[in-house]
Amino acid sequence: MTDPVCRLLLIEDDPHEAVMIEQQCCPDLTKVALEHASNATDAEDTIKESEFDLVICDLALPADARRGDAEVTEGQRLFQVVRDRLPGTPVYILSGNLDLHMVRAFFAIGGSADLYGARTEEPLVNVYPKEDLPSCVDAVQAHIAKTGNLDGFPLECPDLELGLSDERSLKIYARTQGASSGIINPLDGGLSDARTLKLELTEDGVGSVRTVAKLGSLSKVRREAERFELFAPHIPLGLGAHLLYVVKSGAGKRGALIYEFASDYTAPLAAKLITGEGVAGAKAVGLLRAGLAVWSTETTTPVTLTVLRRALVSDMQLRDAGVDLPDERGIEIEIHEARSHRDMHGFNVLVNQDDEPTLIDYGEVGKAPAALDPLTLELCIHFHPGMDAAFAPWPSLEQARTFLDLDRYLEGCPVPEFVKECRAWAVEAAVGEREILASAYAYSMRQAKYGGTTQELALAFAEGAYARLRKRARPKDATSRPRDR
Amino acid sequence: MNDRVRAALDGLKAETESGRLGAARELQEHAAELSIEAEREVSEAFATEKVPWVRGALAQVLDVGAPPIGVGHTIAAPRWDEQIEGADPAVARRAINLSTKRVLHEVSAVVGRARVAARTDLSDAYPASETNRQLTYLYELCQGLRTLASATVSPKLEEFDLSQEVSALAESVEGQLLVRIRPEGTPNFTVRADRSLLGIAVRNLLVNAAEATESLRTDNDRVVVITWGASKKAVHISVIDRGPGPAPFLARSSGAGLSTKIGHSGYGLATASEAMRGLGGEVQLTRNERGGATALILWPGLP
Repeated sequence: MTDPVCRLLLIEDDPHEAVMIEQQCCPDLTKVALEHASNATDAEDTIKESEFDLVICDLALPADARRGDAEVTEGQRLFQVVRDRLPGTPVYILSGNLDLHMVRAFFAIGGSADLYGARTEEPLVNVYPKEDLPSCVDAVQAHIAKTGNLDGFPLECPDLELGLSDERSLKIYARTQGASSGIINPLDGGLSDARTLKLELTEDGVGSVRTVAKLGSLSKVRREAERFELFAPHIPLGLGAHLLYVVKSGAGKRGALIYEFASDYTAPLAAKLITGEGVAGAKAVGLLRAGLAVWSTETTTPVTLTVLRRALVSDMQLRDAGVDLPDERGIEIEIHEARSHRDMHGFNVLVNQDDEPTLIDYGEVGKAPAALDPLTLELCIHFHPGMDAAFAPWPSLEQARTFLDLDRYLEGCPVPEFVKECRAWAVEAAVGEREILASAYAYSMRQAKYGGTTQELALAFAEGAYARLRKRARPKDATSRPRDR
Repeated sequence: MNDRVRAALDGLKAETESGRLGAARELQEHAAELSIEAEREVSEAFATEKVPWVRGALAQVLDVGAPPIGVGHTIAAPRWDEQIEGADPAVARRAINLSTKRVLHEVSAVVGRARVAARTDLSDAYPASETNRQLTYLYELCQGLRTLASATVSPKLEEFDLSQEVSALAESVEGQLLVRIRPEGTPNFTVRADRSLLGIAVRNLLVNAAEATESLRTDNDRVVVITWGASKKAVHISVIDRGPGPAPFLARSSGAGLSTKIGHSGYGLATASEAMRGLGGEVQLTRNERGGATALILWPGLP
């Protein structure tokens, strides 16, 4: 990574003012990367493409480069765009057109956050009339200095290519805890936009604390935090991770969820499976199955295959991936619709030295067929970018098409105990074979949308499941109408 | 004479104060097109009207400054729009708002840049310099104009707890000046007003009172009391100090920029008055019998 800098966006149509602000706010150019937009359209484009640590925004702005007339309403609109697209980034309004009504409105929207991990709430919106440029300059310089202090926190990231914003997320949390240093290690495959890491923080003279840090885009982090709040009371005791802290501001377009680390030794279940520890994997799955039995239900719900599949992947996403949709019409299934994690892959299940599992990542939680979680866990080893290579060439396309025939499917499987346990859980939770087929179909179609080398395999699973569902499509039950969702 | 004007003229005889106020406001909309006969009717209503804000509204229709209300030492605070002779008061407010904003747009950036440049150029000598003093005056002038611009916008009415709002304002002014401000009104007191406009008026009067009080000798004297309550007709806020009292010329003359305080840009009272006028109310000043002044804010703010 290049040397950290404070990323500033200056939105100002007056070139003299822009030059003055830049000169005064950024005397040390090595600590700042400044972008300048002189109209609302350019500013919006810049916000879309880049992330910033601070936005300084005039209010009277031309709409675009062709229309020279500056309008206050344009600046007010742009402010809302900045809040929507960069909700974690502080904004300083610097304008000659402010009145008290505007100031009140800006503060009402603004809110506050601990931007530097200093255990102090900072306003996310500050307002400066142009005659008070000195105060604005002082505030920008203070922000640059505080960001520099944050960047100076010693965080070791061996073999990790973390971006500036991701590092800042972790450092903000570390500083809120009074840590003096930290070290991070990966807990995931490291290929996706979201990263799961082990974060160990040391406080001088006190000792160290380990946590699990989930990094992601701000929108995903916020969604997961909201879902966790709804979902947490329903997680069986001992299976869930406590959410300790959410970094929602101060790290550009990124954020972090910090989960409690239950044990000194923790690894993703995926790591065990990759090394062929099928028995350990089976034990973890067995414990998950027992723990999550409280989510099971005996109530059956009729649903169409299309509804099930669209809950995981849309028609448009499949078209974009070049996947032909089979005719799903007329295929109806009865399911046990239950509380579900909905993304239970091997990196979202952490295990300790006794193979006791902990669930993390609650961004997708909701209602789903009861078979979905165990099938996701079973099939993820073929599709998750952190695992797929370890299990190829098993299974063949033919094995995938007939995956319900477990004996045949397991030929050549490096972790048969794990797969058997997942399958047993799915069978136990589901209404019957059709729920398993439909869930496998929907899950595989979702994997197909990612394209790549595993798309063919995903489509083989989907084809096999679809063929059996179509063959055994039952006439519509007059008393049991599928539900539209 | 159109039907709405006729109905509004009839409305001036309504028994309820709100009915008369509504009629007067309706007439403000048509002030430019009133016939001589219609103006005579408004004048008759003005002569007999006792409620201050209805009188204020009628005064706007007739394009006359509202005269001092009451007897003895009570006077109406000066207003900015009185400075624009012959103009419809609503138009005058708009004109003040637009021209103030225009001036600010042109001037404020220059003042800001000049302050930054002077600070850089003079470095350590800047804080004690005459340049700083003059630029600070310009800065305060801009702030005064900005408050005036805020005081002349169209009100956005909402209901809120006046006791909380006043207490917060008192706390903020107390933090700026070495004077104790004692809020003594009814708790949980819901009113209807524009928070920003009311805030401008209350803050300006509190600052005036606090500045008038600052020079007094004892801590017991350096106290400003702010109370609030309501009669059947109006919400009132009183700011009471023990300072020298309102300057005598305020009773003779009207107009913004008047102040007894050296170094003060002097817009506070007129701006407070202007802000309350936007809410259909007014600001009155009284010389207290035992010294000091009471600034009284009145407006029809009951929900």
